[in-house]
Amino acid sequence: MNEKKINLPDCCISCTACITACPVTAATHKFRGPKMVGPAQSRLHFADDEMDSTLYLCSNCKNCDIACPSSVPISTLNMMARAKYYETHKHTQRDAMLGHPEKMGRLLAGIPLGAFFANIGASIGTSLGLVKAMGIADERPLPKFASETFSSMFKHKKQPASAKKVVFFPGCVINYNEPQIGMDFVEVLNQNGYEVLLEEDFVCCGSPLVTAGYMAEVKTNATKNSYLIKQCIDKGYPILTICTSCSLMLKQEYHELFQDEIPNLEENAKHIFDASEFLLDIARRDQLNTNFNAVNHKFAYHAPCHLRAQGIGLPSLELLNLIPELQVEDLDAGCCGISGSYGYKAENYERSIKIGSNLFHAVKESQVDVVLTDCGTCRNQISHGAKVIAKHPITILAESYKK
Amino acid sequence: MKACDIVVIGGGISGILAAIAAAKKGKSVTMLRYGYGAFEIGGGLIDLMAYPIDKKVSSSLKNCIDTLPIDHPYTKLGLPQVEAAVEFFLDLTNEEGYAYEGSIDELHWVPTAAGTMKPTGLYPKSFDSNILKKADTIYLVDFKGLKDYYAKLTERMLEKTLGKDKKYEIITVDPRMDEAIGGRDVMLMDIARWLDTKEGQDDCVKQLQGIVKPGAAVMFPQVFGTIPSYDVYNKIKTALQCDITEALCIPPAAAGMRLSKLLHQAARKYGVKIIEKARVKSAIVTNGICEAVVASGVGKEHIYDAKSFILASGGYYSGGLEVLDHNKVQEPIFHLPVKVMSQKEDEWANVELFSNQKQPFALAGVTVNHEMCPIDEHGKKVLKNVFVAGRNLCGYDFCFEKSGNGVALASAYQAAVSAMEV
Repeated sequence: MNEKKINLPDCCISCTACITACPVTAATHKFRGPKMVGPAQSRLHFADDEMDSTLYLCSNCKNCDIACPSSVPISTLNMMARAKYYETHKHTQRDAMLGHPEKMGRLLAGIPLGAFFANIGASIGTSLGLVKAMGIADERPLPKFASETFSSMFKHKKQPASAKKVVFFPGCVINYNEPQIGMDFVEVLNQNGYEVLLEEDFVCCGSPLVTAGYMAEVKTNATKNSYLIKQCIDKGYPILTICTSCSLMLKQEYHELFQDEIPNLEENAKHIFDASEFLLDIARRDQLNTNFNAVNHKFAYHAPCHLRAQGIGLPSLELLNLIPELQVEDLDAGCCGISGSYGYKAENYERSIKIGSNLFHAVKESQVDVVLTDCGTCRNQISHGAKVIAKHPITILAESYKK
Repeated sequence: MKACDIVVIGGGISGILAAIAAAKKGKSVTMLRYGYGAFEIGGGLIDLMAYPIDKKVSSSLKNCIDTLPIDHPYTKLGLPQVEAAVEFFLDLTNEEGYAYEGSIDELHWVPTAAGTMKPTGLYPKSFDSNILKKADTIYLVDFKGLKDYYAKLTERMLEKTLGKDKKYEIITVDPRMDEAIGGRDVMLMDIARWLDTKEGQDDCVKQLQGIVKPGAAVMFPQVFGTIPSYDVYNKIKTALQCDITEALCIPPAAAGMRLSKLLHQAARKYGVKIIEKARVKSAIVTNGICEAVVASGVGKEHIYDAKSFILASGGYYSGGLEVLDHNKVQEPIFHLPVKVMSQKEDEWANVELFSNQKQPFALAGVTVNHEMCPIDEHGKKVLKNVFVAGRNLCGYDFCFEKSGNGVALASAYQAAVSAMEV
């Protein structure tokens, strides 16, 4: 198969691997399944303007892409169909909000005590039924905003200067909700002799915009980020993220969506890394700082679907295994069910929990109190669904260096 | 960090079996997989061999292995090695709690949704046409809303196959999936997942118990759960006090999902490291030794080095073999020697789709020696530490012979043995 033929719906040979792998298909009989909604429907666009009536059920988790032996970007075909629909249909206020976490983050960061009042507001809103009325699930806690953003914390961080530099793409979750994980990342990179730079002009990678169907905005963001990434690469700096949905978006989905429209995407992708992927590459060259202090604890690890879709294995798991005395079990129990904003929608809540039930069961069986996973929304789902603490693996690496 | 012992390219049945065979012996194995293989299409049976030459004359593998052409993978492997592979598989499935049955000595016939009987080699015990032959009364279970299964057709064909003197009765069970009807409709996979649950099992049994008379034979489409276990089978069999069987149906096949889970579970148990969505594009070779393979995604390349490599990247459908212009076939990763049965375009395929001859294009593949090590036309090893398993191999038409998973199993086992000796 030559390169040009790849990525077309006609590469689909209808083998049904995607249907058996799809967690949404397993959770509801309504969904017609990735094969029918993606490649099959794409071939019928000339005949039918309306989107498949069950496309709204697709969570863009990408298990279909992982299962596909024929290189069909099934989930992206689904998202392109969804975007096409919203070219002529209006978004709800709820979808507008869930598609734009960065807007909310920026707004609150600009107001003194904005995050504090937003978090109180969210819990009052939940108890008054306002959250539900908006179409947002009120059974689960909304992500909390941090009192200080990552970029603000980063400004006060003193790093040892180094000729070896990386540029950090924090993404919305790290910047607005979990900035301490970003600081842990900086610590780990410093421990390995790298100085971390922050590009303040990066915007949201666009992952939540894709699933909400705001393709024009995705393209604006992709154009801006790609331009900035190219500038960093020209200076010789790799780009690192610690959110697997951000890295998948920057590396792979930009290419799937805009390969003919935005320059340098393929070249950029060579220099964009998930932080653990980057560190494992260093470890393979025997250059990783392995002065880890023992961590005498048993953890479980959950591989986010958006990491599995990157074709790089489970680098965090391999790094964790380098820490003395640390025990870690790969849960290998499939999608957690949250899929970014999907599980926050009121109508998806039950389905989201049903999808995650395998994983929650595996967590229970493993008898751990802390689950490690690289994705922010996976962490929220696991701590809610499995009633354990969920942390980013980089936090454990940082703790092990510092002890 | 240390490189691993063996890298397996491909995660279909031959790749994962080779990975497990080596890992079980204590080797560190990394398996690079791009997509999920054909488990759900394959139906979960291990067809060893049924039609060596003629579609009208069936034979067990043991009876015909000496008569197979010299290019055939079974001829190269030889009977003892095939027997060892079968034993490995039967032991493995037994250890994982879902024991397969069968042997190379005789064919086992399983019923199909078309009401015919299909020969196979190794099989879960829930596939058995003998119970239908023995019974006077056969109940055919259908499910409300189920597409892809036509019990009436099955009944009519069974009358032809097994005779009209038996009593046939169709029973329709309601799986309570009304929300699917008009949407994707109910698939066999949905029924199998329903029967994974206790509520589903109880409900199904309750609906059948009033109608089915003990002592009869009951044929279900392939729905006894998606988990590699006989729990569903045993529960229904005991509750109905009848012999029961599943019929082979069109994909997605629940028994294929069971086999996929079983092998995945075993691979995990023996520490096989699985890298998903890793498409191997090329190899780094020095002096007839492969040092590493290169997997690439968008923009980036990832290098996997090992002491030895097992190529199990499949045939035409999965890109393990590629057809170039002028009927040339290439193996795109290592560019191993490929034997093509005919260079002439008009001899490339039989025009009759169901002809009584093997398809020349299906016989094309990589040439190997008895170790499954690739060789050139003079019989000389091309790469000393690379071994080939499954549909990459030349000399067999899996579709005609009904030998696909059998060759996959036997060649995978040998490839693992050879790779461990490097």
